[in-house]
Amino acid sequence: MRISTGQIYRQGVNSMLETQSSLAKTQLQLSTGKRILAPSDDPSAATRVLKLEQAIATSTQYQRNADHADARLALEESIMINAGDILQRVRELAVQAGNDTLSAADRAAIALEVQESLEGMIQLANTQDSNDEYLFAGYQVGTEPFSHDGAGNFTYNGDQGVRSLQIGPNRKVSIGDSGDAVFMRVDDGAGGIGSIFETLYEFAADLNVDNPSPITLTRLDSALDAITTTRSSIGARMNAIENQRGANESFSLLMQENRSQLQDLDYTEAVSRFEQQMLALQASQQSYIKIQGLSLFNYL
Amino acid sequence: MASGLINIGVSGLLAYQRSLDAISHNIANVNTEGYSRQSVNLTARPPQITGYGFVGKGVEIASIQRSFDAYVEGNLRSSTSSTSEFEAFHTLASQLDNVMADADAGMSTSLQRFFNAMQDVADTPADPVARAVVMNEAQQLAEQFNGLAGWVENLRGHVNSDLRASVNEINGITSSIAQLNESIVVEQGRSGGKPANDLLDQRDALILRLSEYVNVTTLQQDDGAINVLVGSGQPLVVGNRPSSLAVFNEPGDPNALGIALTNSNGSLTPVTKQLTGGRMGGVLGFRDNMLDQASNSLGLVAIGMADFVNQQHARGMDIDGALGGDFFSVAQPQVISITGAPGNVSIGFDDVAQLTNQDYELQFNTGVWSLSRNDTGQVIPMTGSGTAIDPFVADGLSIVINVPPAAGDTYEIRPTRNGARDIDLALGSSRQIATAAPIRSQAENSNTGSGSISAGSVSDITNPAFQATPGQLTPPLMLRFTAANTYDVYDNTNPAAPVLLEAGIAYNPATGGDIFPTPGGIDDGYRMRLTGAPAAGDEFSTEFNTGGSGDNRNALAIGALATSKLMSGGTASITDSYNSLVADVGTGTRQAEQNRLAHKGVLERVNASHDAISGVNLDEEAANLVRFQQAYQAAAQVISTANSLFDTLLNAVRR
Repeated sequence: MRISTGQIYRQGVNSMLETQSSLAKTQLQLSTGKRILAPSDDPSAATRVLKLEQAIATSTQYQRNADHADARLALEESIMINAGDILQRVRELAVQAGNDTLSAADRAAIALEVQESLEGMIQLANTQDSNDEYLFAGYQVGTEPFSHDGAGNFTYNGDQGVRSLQIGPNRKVSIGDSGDAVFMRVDDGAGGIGSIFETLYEFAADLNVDNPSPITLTRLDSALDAITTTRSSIGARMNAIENQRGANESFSLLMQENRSQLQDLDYTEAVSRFEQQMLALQASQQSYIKIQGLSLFNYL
Repeated sequence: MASGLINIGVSGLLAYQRSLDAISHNIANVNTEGYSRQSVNLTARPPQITGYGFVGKGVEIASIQRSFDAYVEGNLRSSTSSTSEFEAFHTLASQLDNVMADADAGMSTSLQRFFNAMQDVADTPADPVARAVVMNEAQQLAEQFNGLAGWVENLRGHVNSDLRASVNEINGITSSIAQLNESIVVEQGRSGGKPANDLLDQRDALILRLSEYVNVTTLQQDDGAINVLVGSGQPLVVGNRPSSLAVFNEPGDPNALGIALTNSNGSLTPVTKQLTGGRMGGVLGFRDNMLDQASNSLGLVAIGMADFVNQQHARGMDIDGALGGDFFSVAQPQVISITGAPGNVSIGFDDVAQLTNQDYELQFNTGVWSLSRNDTGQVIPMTGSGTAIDPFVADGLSIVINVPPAAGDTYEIRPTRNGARDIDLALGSSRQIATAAPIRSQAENSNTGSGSISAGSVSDITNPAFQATPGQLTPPLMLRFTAANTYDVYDNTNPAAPVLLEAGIAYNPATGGDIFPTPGGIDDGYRMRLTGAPAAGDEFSTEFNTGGSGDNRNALAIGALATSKLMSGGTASITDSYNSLVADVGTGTRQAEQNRLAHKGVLERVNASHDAISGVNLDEEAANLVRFQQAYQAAAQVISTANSLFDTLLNAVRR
């Protein structure tokens, strides 16, 4: 076939231009470390990468939620520990107060400590978190949940709402307990229901009139039971969070691995491709110069 | 005798001089675009008859011919058309391609961030900082949609300016072709039908350039002119008369340009749909097959996201106890009147989950309205009668005909075209984010059984129970168990004296049960569930969630929309539907790239076979130069020989 002089020139230049553009693409791949630079490079993989990124981001959010739930439950747990300590101390006082050798003045002194404990207990139940939210008010976090009229009547001003958080694709966890359930609905030792505060208030009142009631110990024990039950439920939830966190982490890791397989560059392959393309460019440059030098006119 | 020799020698000299001329013309035009190699065809002069036979009389020039093959030239034109078509398409498509999946410019990250912020606010619903972050992310999300829509619209501007430029270029080329037609007819007539090689080359080069802009067909005329046709036979050049193309705004759509042929009386004949190939075909193809689709799909994502968030947000309660308002403002479907009075037809969304990314045509014919998809022409069945009370419903749209139509009334409906452009944050302040649910439930402290009641969720916020008086349930309800497996429902407006609404509802402690709607039909627009084993006398109540700023149920529900399959009839999540846009654009761009490369390869091969025929090779010309130079020298030698023969004769006579 005849080849025109213009075609020789065009072919040489075209092949250099093409090699240069693939070289530039390889270089961009090398500098970003990514195999896919635009969706058109591999549309199905690019879409899967988007999906994986969304899954990873969602999973990261679940971890954030889990962290928050964990912190929140840890705070509640510490309050329950304090409440338990207070009740334990009051129980000791109750045992002590039952001792017949105690005088009325001794019992009044104990009553003073029990009243302190009651105050402490109310303070615990009205604990606010770092956002000034009442921990035990249910949904009404802006309302101080427990109030006392000074005459032994304790009112719960919150509701029975319990906030929960999404810590996994199909897993929600309650991040608190309503104050109603924790402090107000405790077995009163007589087949009914009463609050922990009433137990303490009435104990102190009994001591002040030097007439400790034997039921006090039973009531304190059931209050301690209630606190322990709440604590173990918190513990169970924290365990569940821990498990979910592990699951989220391994899911996220798996997704990241998948993403990396889809979009990350195989450096060995890319570097050798880069070398090859450079070689090709050099070859076409050199052959172009050589061919351009060939002309019959040189010999005329 | 010697004069015959001289004549023959001179004929050789002249012939080889012309041949050398042609070679130098070839060499001079080695870099001229569209130039075809010329050669001089030599033939022996008619011989002289003598008694002993025919005596040769030398050489003469039969013709000067350009090396040209009309078939290869035709291939070159069509191949050039397809290559520039896919080049133009690919150049535009790759701009969409680059931006769609980009972490900063695309929607994926913004969508994720908004829904994540919603989950963060679920962690601490009363925290002003977390609420402000939601507002900020929502604003960013809306702006990201606007920005991306702007980018897409910007490409539409590119398309339009490209079409204008192409039309100008085409008009310039066609008038040059018409002029050349005239010159060729004149020159070839003057030369008695000999080809006007260089003019023909110029004209072919122009037709080839025209092919870069649009696919053309040519008709060779007997007088040497070429008629150039475009589309399905619309004439661009007839003889020495060019017709000019013009752009015009498509009716009802200022953003779309159409192409028309200008008739001799100045009127326009639209040819947009007939134009194929070339830069223009590529640009139009990109606009009709990719850009509109991308606009619609992006709008669909925006409208879907906004509408589902709005729906869920409306079921919530904000920090001040008010029911949730619109979170985002949603663009309404675009209606363009093709024929028929504007405003006769109102279109709204019936069910966003059923929306598609298609455009539709609504037409009134033979007394019936029919709706068809623009891409396939498929007729979409509509339910309803088109009145305000009973609108036509199809593909998620609700269509109301306001005024009796006339036969032939036609409207173009673009349900989601402006969705991304017009989305905006509608909520005014972060306090208005409805993170809570407006209801709560309560088990009485005096209960002795183990029954418990769920917190509940809103199923229908338009229920009078929510709407009658803002900030309260009308009425709050109370359930009282009369036995372990039976309860009554009371109106609890006055807790001191509840009013019995329904008595003797059965309950199974083993399985628990949904309370609403009750067997007697009490349904106040929310759902709650009883579980466990309540005792006789136990009470459960429902009330408005007054002061419930720590409730995060609605924020959780909005956050969960991110992964719920809500779109495309419940088969795709919001992000899925964005991802499929990215996949469509990516696949389209990849296809364009592959087509571009394939056609470029074909073009290279056609170019090679074209050059094999018409191209100038300098080595060949050099060889011919030597050949004809030698022949010229030989012819000169003949004259010199004739001269010496004459001298010999003279000398003989002189003696």
